[in-house]
Amino acid sequence: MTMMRDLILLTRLEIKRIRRSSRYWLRLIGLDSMNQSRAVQIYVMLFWMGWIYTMWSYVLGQVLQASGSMHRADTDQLLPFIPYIVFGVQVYYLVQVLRDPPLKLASADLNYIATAPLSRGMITIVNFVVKLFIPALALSMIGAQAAMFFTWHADMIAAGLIGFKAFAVTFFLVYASGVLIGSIGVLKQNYTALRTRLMFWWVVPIVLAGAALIPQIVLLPGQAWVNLLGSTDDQAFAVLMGGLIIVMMIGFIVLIAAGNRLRMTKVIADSQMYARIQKLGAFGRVIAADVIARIRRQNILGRKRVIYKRMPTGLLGTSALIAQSITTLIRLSPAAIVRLFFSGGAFVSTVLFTVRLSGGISLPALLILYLVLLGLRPREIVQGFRAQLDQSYMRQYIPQTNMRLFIASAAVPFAITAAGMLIIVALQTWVDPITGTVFALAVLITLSLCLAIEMVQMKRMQLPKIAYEYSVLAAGIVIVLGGVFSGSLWGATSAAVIVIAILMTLLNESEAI
Amino acid sequence: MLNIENLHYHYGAHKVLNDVSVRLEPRQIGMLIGQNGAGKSTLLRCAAGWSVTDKGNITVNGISIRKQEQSFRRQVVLVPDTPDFYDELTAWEHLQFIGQLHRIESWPEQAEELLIAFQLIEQWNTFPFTFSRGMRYKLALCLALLVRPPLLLLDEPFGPLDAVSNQILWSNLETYVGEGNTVLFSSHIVPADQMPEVILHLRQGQVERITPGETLNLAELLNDDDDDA
Repeated sequence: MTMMRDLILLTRLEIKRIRRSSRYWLRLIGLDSMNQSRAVQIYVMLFWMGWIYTMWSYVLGQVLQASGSMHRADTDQLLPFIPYIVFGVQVYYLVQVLRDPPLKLASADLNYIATAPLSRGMITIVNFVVKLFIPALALSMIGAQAAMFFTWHADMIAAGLIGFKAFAVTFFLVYASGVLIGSIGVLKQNYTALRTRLMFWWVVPIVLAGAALIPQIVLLPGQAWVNLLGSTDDQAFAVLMGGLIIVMMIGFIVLIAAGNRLRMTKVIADSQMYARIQKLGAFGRVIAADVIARIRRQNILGRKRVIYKRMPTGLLGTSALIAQSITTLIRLSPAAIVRLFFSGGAFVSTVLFTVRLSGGISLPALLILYLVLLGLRPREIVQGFRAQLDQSYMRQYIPQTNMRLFIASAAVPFAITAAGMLIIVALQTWVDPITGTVFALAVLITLSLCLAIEMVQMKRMQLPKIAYEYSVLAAGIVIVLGGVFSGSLWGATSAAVIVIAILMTLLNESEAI
Repeated sequence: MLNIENLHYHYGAHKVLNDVSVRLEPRQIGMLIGQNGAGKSTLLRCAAGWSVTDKGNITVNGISIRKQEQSFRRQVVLVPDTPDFYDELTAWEHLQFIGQLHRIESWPEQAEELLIAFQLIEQWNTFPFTFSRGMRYKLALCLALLVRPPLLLLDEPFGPLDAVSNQILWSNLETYVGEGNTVLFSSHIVPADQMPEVILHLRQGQVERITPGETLNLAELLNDDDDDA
């Protein structure tokens, strides 16, 4: 009885929250129920309904085209893989819930829900139902399209009906699998002893062994989905749906039992990072990606008991600045070094491909190159410089100008990127390696400086902030004209050197704070 | 030492500082008081060269921020009320980095002394983002006192610290100004039995210089602001 009361309370709270967030998303697409007349609301709704219908029809058309272009024998050959794909998704989710505690609460919930005398099981259930909804919807849509891809050779109405059935089956399959697998993660979440937590990882090889030894049971969900495609029998569909709902209900019971064992102090501790990220809002992951990266980094560093890779002693002045930059880069993530290396290769490949595909050094080629480069912000090279500028308090202790600070903080990432570039330049045969290397380096330095210029203030020079796009546009014009008038990459490179000198002067004269 | 002349600053349409002039001499400790939102932090940020002013002139030891920015920055350190640190460096590495950057040869000994004085020595190998507000402020003070700039500006230094740390900070500041330096801090409180030499009362965008006496009551002064409002 108490659990039911808790469930109703939490569901009401969740509905209110969904309503509020729906209002936000609806406003984003132009539908504001508070400040719009009914006629405008109907117009906007009709517009979006039409848009969704068009998009769905377009995707369906593509599926039809793809299906029509293949022989039935070929499409049928793909069917045996489907149970393994479904199993693969389930194992992936299992690994996710074992890696990362599945029950996490947002900051408001941490304050009010976690500390309230509510049933832990009900908190867990509501959290899972909400969390699984979007993935279930997305996978169901993919499932419906996939089902129609395989059955389009039958008549269109039958294919549409199978698509609808596949949608429903996939939706409940996601929930049934999600709550059962999630229960394992919730059980693990309660333990702090490393040995016990590691024991849970045995579930993965056990499940994999199960797939090899008793595939008829472990691969059953995927197989049932495949069987649905070949059946027009409504009774079989009803049995399958009934079975899935029963499994889902069992899953809910297991999840409630696992949830009731949870200690909220552990959940609160696990949720701190998640809550900070959630606070950044719906678009936080897009517009505040660097803040999220910082939160994650703090979380990783904060858990370390032994601090490795100490800053070297004995280095003074600018050398200390470079040492700090290296320490930061290594502690940030070893993966960042690999990323920088590959981004160098990707950068120079893009430059060379664009010039090559556009037919050599010409005005159109360089304009296309400019448009491509506009989208390539060398963020990771300038990341250290940006971190220094963001910390006004620490920046005041660094007596170097912004130019010297830029060189010291970007030198190491730049060198790693350049190494990645050199390998690609050495391997290709399109342009002379020396010319290609010098040009690519000049362009990369130009872009990095343009990005650095965007970050600094130049009020004392009576200049406004210069956005990356504008400085790249101006630099691009000079480099393109240099290349076009001289008819060679060396001409473009010489122009780039002039641009670099101007940008360096601006950076040098910009305000430190 | 610190000379602010006819300083003007506004946020949008709101004029925060209106023709403010302040002068502090070497070996002086100045205290900036005023209600919340009076512009204390803004004045300190302007004095440190963190905010570009609309009008007016700021010099430290005769060096102007407008004409010699780099030289000016070597003269001043501002410790804001919530200082930020590098995520990837420990408390000790912050001191090491700044010590090496400023070519302070005896930085290890000085850093250790400061960490001991401000009771942070046990956390020397910890990342500052795990610190409480008070601990972060202490680390910021350690960094500032390691560099020992001629002018030290502190925003609300006594708020985050406990009573013992407040006394330690005050005695450090007295030693520090004894070396010929100057300190200006904003605060609503001062450690028990202590009173700075100069008190600057910021009210309605203007600064009034008050001579501290035995009868001075900070709470009464701030209450007067309420009455004026």
